[in-house]
Amino acid sequence: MAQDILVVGELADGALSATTVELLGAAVRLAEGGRVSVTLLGSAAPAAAAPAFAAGADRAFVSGDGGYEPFRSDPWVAAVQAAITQAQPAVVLLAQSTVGRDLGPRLAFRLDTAAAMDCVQLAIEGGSFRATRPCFGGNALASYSFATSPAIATARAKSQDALDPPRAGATGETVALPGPAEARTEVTGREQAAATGLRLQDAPVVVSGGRGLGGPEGFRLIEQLAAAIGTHRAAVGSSRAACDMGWYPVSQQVGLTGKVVTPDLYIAVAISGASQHMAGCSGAKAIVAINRDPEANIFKAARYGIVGDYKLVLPPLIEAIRALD
Amino acid sequence: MGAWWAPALALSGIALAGALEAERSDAHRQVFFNVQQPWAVYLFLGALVGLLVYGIGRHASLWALGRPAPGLASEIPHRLLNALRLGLAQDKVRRDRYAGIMHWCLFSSIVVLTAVTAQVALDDDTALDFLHGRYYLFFSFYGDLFGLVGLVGVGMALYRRYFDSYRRIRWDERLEDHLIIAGLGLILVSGFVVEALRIEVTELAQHPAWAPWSFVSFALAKVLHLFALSEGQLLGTHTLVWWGHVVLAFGWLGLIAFTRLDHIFFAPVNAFLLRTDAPGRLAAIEQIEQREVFGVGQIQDFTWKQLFELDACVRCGRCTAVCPANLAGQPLSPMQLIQDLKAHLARVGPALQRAGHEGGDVRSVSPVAMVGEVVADEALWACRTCGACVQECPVMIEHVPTIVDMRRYLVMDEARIPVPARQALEHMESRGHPWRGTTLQRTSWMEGLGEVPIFDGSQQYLYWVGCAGSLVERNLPITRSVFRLLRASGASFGVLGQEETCSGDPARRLGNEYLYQVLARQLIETFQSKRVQRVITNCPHCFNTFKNEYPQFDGRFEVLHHTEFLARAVQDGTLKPQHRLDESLTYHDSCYLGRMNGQYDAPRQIIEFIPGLHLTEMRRSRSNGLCCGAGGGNMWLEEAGERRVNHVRTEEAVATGAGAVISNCPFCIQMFEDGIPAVQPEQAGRMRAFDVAELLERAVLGPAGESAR
Amino acid sequence: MHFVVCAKQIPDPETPPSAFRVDEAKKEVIPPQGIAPVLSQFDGIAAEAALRIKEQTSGTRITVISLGQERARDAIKQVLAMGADEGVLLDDATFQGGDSYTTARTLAAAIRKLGDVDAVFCGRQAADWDMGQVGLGIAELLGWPCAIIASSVQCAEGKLTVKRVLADGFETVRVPLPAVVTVSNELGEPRYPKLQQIMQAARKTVRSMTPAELALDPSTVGAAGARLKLERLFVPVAGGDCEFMPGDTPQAQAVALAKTLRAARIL
Repeated sequence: MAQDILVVGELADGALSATTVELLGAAVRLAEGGRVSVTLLGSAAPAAAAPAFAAGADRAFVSGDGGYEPFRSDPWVAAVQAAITQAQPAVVLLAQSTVGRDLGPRLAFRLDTAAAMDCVQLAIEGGSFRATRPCFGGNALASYSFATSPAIATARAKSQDALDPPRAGATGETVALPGPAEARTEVTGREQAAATGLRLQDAPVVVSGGRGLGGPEGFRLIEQLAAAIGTHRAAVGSSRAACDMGWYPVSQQVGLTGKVVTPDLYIAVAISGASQHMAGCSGAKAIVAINRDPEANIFKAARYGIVGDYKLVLPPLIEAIRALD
Repeated sequence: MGAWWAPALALSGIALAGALEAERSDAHRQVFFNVQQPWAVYLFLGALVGLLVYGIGRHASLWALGRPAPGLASEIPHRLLNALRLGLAQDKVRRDRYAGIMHWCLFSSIVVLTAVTAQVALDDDTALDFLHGRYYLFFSFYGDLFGLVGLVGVGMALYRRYFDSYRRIRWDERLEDHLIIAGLGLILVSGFVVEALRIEVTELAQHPAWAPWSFVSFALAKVLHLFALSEGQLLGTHTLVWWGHVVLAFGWLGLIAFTRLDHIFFAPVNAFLLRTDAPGRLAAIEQIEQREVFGVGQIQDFTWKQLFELDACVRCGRCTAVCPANLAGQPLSPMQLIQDLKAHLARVGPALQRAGHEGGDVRSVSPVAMVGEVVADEALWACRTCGACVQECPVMIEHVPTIVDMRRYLVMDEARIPVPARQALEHMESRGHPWRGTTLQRTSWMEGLGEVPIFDGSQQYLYWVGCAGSLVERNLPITRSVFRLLRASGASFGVLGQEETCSGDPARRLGNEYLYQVLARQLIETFQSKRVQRVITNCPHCFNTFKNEYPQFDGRFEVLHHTEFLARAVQDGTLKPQHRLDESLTYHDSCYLGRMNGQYDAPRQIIEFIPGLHLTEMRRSRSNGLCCGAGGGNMWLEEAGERRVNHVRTEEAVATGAGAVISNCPFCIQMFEDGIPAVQPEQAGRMRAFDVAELLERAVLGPAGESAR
Repeated sequence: MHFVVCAKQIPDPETPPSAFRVDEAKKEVIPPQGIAPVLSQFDGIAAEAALRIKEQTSGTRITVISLGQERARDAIKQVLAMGADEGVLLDDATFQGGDSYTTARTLAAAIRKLGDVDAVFCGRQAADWDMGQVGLGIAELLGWPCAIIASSVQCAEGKLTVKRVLADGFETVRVPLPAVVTVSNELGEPRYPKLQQIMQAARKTVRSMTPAELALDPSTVGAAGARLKLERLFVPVAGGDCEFMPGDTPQAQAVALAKTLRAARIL
């Protein structure tokens, strides 16, 4: 049964964000022939409409007003609400991002409906929308249906597949949205995290250290391992326990409350694999675990493992990886 | 104590026999033969007594600021014995052999020479008349003998203070230390000179048979004789030196009121006040719910006994020299802590007294915070509660309860706790164990062991696994070994499994007495409802608190550490170590089985019974053993300082050349497991760490037992 | 000023995965034996954020509200021991079994009932269902602004200055009172209560509020009012078998790992 879907689009560095592209792919799949709309807000929005059509949108609600940047919820809620009023979608999809975490619940309450957050599976079952999401720190999965409409869901990055191939050269309807409404919150400052080079979420390889390192000095070996793999390929992550101890910057935290990463290779060093951490890395294509404790939970999720003390394993591993080339 | 007096007694006995054998003679001396106004001495004596009364009174008025110290009037015979054994006979002083000999020389010399002087006074100034004849000869002999003994002591003291590279006594060296030793030396030398001058004038020619009894002065007189001084010169010198001797002696005794010489009185009194119960027991805070102040954050919150102890300290540094934290370069010196508290008492005490008299707010008097400024938080957290300082202290100061009292203040009154320790406490509170982030359950160790009996009151023993034994990966094999051995011994036992909760020990050592009492009372109730009577524990910390501390809350159980049970089973043949294990070992005494509970032998007996083992003791072992570093809640504290204690201890284990280090405590094992790779980076030939039970299991059940793991 | 801290009692998130069980028929988590529920960690941090402001602003009162069953009183007591002044327990049977919507609706009604509230502090998400909606929901229902995922909160001149954690850094925003803030673990550990405070907490009042008092139609709260319908709750099947690297020494294992990753074209 066809149903209309609205995707709340996000722009990153002047282009459609990767997650928005993924959400549009999911929307096309879920719409089953229904209409897929997207909202695009910010100075780069007009230019992003064409890529959004290629990614699966039929219609774009656009405002190129720079007042929508940086993201503040009040103007965004008003704009998206206006789009929803026009499009009357059955489902509203957002990314589980700075934007979606804020907008998803707000829209739900403002529209007197409900939202499911941080979903990993979106489906139509028996004609109705079904959202599945991890809970209890990733120990369980919960599937929800919605008693009210529209159903609102935020989806975890990389949980959805973009259209493949994209609809090259596709066009669609563009609807102008008004400029930003007044915001009650005033942004007075922003600081970029001091992460050097590669972004954790973009790195094809993530090497992470945990509480088992025993101290901040253990991260020197982790950094050396990442450097041996290549500074353009590998980023360094940290478990929440290690961040809470102050051993590594919180910007590099991987886990439920940190970054969710989906690299090709995730190397977990001295990380026990508590479910709250696994929630941040279980999407990796391959996990390598290095831990002293053979019973550690991390080995249950790992494809390759070494049981041993990282202080003894990492130096020869760094050598061996350097020797590969 | 007899052994130490033996040489002097033997010599005196020979002399006494000689004196009795001597012809009945009219040997005597004219006591003050050359001294005018000898009565002036009594003025000095009066002044001295006044000074001492004033000095001690001044101290006592400060001790009186403390809270009552209950229980000190009980067990008087035991306490008197302590005063004799630890005070008079100085059992603890002798733990350092050199210092023991030196101190005995000085101490016995001062006691005997004071008696000699008193006899002279009695003989001269009372109706008593006994210094003549054979007794006089004997008196002359032992007076000189103990003068000489004193000089030997002074010589040893001078050597150690000025020539030896011995450091601990110089950690807090003060002017008084030089005055005390130099003064004593001068008193003894001047005494001999006075005596020699008198002999030269009155005996050398006149009574040649009497003179040699004062053998040192006699020899000195012989030397003086070579100078052929006139009688006038001799008498003039005698008067001068005599008065010099008297002034010095009284002046020196006067130092008691102002310097660490006061330990002459305080040490035996502190020995009398010393606890008579188990050293592993910390005092319970009674009726904790009704109190407003829980720990000790101000000097007047200590008991008067704790304040008294501060004055007993002689700054010898023995406590600090054995302190594991100090050995690792961490910020704790028990001696400094005691001295800092003593100085703080002297500084704020008078103002406290005034405020007390005026009925003012005593709690706001001190211009500095005792905990935090006088004693740093880091120093308090660095303590392992291993008890080495308490054990070594020659004047019986109990540092550990004092430190824990201040931790109680930090935790319960101020809630100022390092994060990992706080997390451990929160875990004990909400999860019943201190092991944050464990992925194990209390029943995980049971997997693959077949049927594990659950304790239901019908069995003889409860096998208490403990949090570390069930929730820390490395300790699971140990728990399984103990279990298999108990099963093999045919003992009637059961476990509590999921119903186990923390014994509370880490909370008590970390200073959260309230949490401890909650956990302890809860567990006592569980034990009683299940009719538990005998408990075998995996962990010496549970063992200590069950055995020594639960009786404070009417939880009385017969408690055995697993090594005690297993040693018994090996001795009576129910467990037969028949498989040879060719291993070279060293054995590490855990503080809470060893020092706190005196159990050094049971684990060693087990090792002896296993064929093929070769045990090499470490440099520090048995009562001198060094903490692994985890005690006193330090398992959950980050170490501040140059080194980690477990690295220091692991080095000592590695230095024995043994292939394995054996212990009896899940904490020690973890600390070695962590320390060994740090000390021996090469994996080849690396030392391994085992519990005694793991060895015994291999010896009793064979390699199959091991592979079944 | 008058702050509200919302506190939820949840199944212990540190329950070992081996002890975590789900009753798929009842769609419930089976409480593991011997593992008591705890205060959701982010709510303790939210309380910490409120208390830090209270310490610097005299005359500030903190009310802690929990929606839950009777035993959630422990979670309230915990926040009271940290320094909050009074507690409200929403333990009426009709309140139970709802979703983020009904929870926010009930809490918002209670906050409205208190009357003079200047700011509401919530955890960024409850550490059981991990939704992260209730704070925003309360703000929407009360018509207040909301700043989410705070790593520090300051209060001056009728405004909150909130440092927020973003994916790639931090953002500082100013929000006029009354407002809602949701707090993240970056703010720091919640304080450990002094024993005196624990004793006092036992004497502080915790009152209940009924749907009637809050003027809530029972059909709009709890299970009756829920808009999300839980269709299925299950434990996902664990991933594949781990291949342990061969070799007797760490060196050999490390070399084996490097070669394996290369052979699998992962490196």
